[in-house]
Amino acid sequence: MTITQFNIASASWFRPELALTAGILLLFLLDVLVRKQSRYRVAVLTVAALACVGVAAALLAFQPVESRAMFNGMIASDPFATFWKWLFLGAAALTVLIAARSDEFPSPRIGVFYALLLSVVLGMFLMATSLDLLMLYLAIEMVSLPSYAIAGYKPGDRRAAEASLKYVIYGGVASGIMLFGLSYIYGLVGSTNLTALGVRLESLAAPASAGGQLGLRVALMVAVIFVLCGIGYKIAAVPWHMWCPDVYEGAPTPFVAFLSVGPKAAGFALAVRVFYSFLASGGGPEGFARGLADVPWPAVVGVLSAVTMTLGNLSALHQNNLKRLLAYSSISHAGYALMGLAAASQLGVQSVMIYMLVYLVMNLGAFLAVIAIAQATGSETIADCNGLSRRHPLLAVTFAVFLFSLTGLPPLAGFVGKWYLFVAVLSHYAGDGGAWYVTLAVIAALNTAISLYYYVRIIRAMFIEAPAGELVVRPRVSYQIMLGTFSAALLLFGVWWNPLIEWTQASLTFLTRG
Amino acid sequence: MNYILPGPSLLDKLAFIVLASAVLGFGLLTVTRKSAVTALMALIGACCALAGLYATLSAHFLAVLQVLVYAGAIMVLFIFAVMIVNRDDEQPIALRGLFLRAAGVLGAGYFFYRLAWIVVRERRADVLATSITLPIPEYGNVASIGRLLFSDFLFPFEAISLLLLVAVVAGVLVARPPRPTPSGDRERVA
Amino acid sequence: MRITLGLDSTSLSRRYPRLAILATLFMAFGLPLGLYVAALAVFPLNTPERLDAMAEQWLGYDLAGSPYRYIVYTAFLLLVAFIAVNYTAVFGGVSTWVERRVAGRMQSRIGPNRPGAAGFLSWVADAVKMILKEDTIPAEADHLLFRAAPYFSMVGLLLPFVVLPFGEATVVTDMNVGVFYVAAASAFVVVGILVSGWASNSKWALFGGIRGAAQVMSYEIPAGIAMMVPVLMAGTLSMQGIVRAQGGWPWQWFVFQNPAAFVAFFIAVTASLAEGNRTPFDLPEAESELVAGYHAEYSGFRLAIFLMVEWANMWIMAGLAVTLFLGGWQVPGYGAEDYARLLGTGLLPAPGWFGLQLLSMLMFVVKTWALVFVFIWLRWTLPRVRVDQMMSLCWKYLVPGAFLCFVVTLVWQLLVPPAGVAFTGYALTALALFVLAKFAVATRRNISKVAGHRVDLGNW
Repeated sequence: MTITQFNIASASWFRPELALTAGILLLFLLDVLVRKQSRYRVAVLTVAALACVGVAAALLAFQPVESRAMFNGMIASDPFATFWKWLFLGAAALTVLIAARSDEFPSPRIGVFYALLLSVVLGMFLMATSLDLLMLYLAIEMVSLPSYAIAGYKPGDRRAAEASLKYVIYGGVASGIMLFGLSYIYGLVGSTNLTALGVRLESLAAPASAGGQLGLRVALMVAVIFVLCGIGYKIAAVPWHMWCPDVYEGAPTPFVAFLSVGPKAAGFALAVRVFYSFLASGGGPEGFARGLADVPWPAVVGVLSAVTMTLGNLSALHQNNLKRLLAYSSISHAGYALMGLAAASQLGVQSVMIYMLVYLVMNLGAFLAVIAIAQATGSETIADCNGLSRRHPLLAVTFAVFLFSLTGLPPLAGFVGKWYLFVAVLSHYAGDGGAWYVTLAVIAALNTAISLYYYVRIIRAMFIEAPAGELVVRPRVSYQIMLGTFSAALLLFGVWWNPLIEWTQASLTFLTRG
Repeated sequence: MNYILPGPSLLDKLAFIVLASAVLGFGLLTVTRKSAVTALMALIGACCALAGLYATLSAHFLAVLQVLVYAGAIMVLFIFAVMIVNRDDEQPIALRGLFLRAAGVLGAGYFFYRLAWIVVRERRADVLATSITLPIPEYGNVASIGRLLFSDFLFPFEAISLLLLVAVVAGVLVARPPRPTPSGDRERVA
Repeated sequence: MRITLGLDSTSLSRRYPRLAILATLFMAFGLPLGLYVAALAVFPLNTPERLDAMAEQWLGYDLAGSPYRYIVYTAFLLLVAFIAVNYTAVFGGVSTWVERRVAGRMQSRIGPNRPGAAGFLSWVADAVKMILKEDTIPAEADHLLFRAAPYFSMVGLLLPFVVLPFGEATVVTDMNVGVFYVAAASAFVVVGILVSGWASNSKWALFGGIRGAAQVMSYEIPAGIAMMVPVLMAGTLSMQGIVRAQGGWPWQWFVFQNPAAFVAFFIAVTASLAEGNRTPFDLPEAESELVAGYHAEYSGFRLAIFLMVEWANMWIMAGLAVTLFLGGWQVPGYGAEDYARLLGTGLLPAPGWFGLQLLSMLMFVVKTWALVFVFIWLRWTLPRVRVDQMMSLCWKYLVPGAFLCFVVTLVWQLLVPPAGVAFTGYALTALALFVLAKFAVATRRNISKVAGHRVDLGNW
């Protein structure tokens, strides 16, 4: 009896998610009810989608802030999760606004897109809050399944079909491997609860005999690597990044913009939770560098981070398609953000949060600029940017702002994000393995220089090359407003970043081991 | 103390050996057969043998579901897909080249050896038994599973129902032919 | 010179008419009855505890502590399985004869009447002929799968017999997941159909296989949900539990206990007809379109297996419906306490118990045969549906209908008091009797309209 009450009692901390669920169902219904020929169809559906997000946001704002595990320890409600929820809702609202005025979503099919988008958002909510291996897997599937469908959204388009199929196959393999790892963890430890796992694993780590210890370590290590595979696939870190460019190229651009920030951020939220709860062993606020099964997991993540950013940047160098270029750039950004995880400290987590927040704005902005260019020229290569500064100065300037911010140049917000990542890594300078952290930071700095090269290629095309023909570039008014707002925000928070720091600082409490 | 069986008897051991080797054998067939349909049939065999293993562990409900859902529904859908695609000329093993194959086999072999060590040599009680809560007496029957589903695991249970709904709609979105747009019927629905 | 095998029944029965009648009687009643008695004798003993006790008492042998106990148990299980398999085969054979005779009657022709009395032995002759035929495998077929496919169907047919209760004590084993188990086991039949269609490497067979798979997969859903209605009413998935929750009199059957169950019964029967590929849902083997569908390339014994599965499946379909909705083996006027009283406490039950058991088996068999007759009538009355009709019937009518029944049953269980349930039982029983009477009168009138026909047994 008490257990059921616990379930019902939890629902009052679950209202934003309930609002999203209701919104999904409502949109499914509205999609059928509003006539396909109606002129107001897009407007009605867009308003409905925005209203759902708005209601969820309002409920989130009035939700009590204290941390608690809900639904018998399945998911958590804590300030950390709330931070990510705000981020996801923001990304969703902006994507809805972008998609409403995009050419890629014909009005008969836009309702389903909104509904699926909201279900992805719900899945991301669950990813950021899950406290149980079961929920973790379920949440990842909830994000993945609708994404597969939206990636193949354009009917009869070969690239879209390829994107969808590749996404499904990579996703299926990744989640299959992750499930396999989860089953090993459950078999070895006997619990699926993240908060219990860490404690159990520590007690297991007590040495028995050399052989058994080694066997246990190998089994756990393989299991954890399998689990990391599922998470790494979501954030597009390197061994699991192959789907990224093809999917970005084939999927509708507004959704790609969302995909590059939303699920990635959710993946990081999940990674932080998993990492803190059982990978890195406890003991002191900064002292979890030596982790599970005597494997220095922060070092593993550090290597992943270095490889990811280097490979992403090097592959981006010779891309001519803007979406593919941004895909590789998003891979390298995942690498940067992994630095914060590798730092394995409060500061590291905070830097990841700041970076994801800033990345949301600048990457959405960059994709918005690509959409605007593609709407005018019909394709999305670097050559399409030629002479953009003369055809539409606002678009060119804001795109340049986004690209510089992505590079991490001051005085833009991208610099703040990167600065905190570097600080988090370099604060280990004096500690154990300080040299490795310094190496990581040096690699990241070199990568920033590399990335400057390909970002500047676009900027050079926009400002120096002559326009190819007499093409009129006139982005929609709502896009112009959004472009302006995004770049203003990047400039503002590039010089006045206190609110970011305070907000993330306040959101740092979260449920880890019981 | 073990609630499930009064100790592994000869028959239990025999059943386990037969079923486990069936799972492994069918699994090997699945990954080595060139013909996709034959591989799928082997997979069905593996699923059924797995269901048998569940049944020997007193998880009858799970065993039946394993057959009903996997061997029955999902595998039939797989066969459908394979029949429609029907490409028998594909190399069944993804890892090409001697080096990768050797590395894969060695790595898997080492991992298996270590796992086997835990189970066979060590019998680490703390890993294998005490850390796992012992099953309740009515373990595995429908009522106990139902009770768990509607108490401890209510939330994932409900979340899955939403997930399935969304997946159905997503599937329809991908599969349905494009409909005529309001600007003019370029494509007609058959 | 004319070579007559012993089975050239025409000459045999002409020469020894008494022999033919005796053989017929033996095959028609002796064989099934023998199987029933064997089942009654063996099935209830099929528990390790009872076997242990019997060995202890009669042989003075400590079976429970013996190293050979599992061999004995397994031997007993094999005996049980042997009886069940034989019963399946005999039923499959007999039902082909019944079907052909009924079809002949309905189409104003005679039907098979040569071997044995009333042509009864024709199913034996058919079986022998099939076994003697050459077993061909097409050169381009997938040999392994082609040969494996009939066994899938066979397994799918035989597995449900494990939980199908023939009587109060006559069930191989009463699983706590019985209904689910039947649904799962019948999934193998699909695999058999699909694989035989694919492995034959023939267009007709492939079409048949794909149609069959689509049909069976689709109709599994309404069938499964409709079967959940009695599960809800009984509160258990075990087949025996469901039968025990009903009573012997018609108004105590689940089908009449609430209106939703009444509807669910028809949904379940329709869906199981489709699952068993019976006309009007015989699309996978539609002779007029696909030659013979999924088994077009089969011959000899393998074909015999497919055909046997097809007919014997009727027993499963009808038996399941009887168990879930029509009171199963419940004998009117006898309750659980009567069985317990007659069973006594001794090692062997009293003779009266065996009598009651036979009665309960008889109840089940009579009800099931009645339903089988209905299936046969349906086959020779209704035309085959088209593929699109088959799909729309399932997804647009049966699935929502089954869900509705499910929900209504839930509400009914919660809200309606026992008196209301009893009243519904009487009312629906009366309604059913009324419809049956009308049906009988109408049938009689139709027959008498055709030139003063009467039921003519002259050509038997």
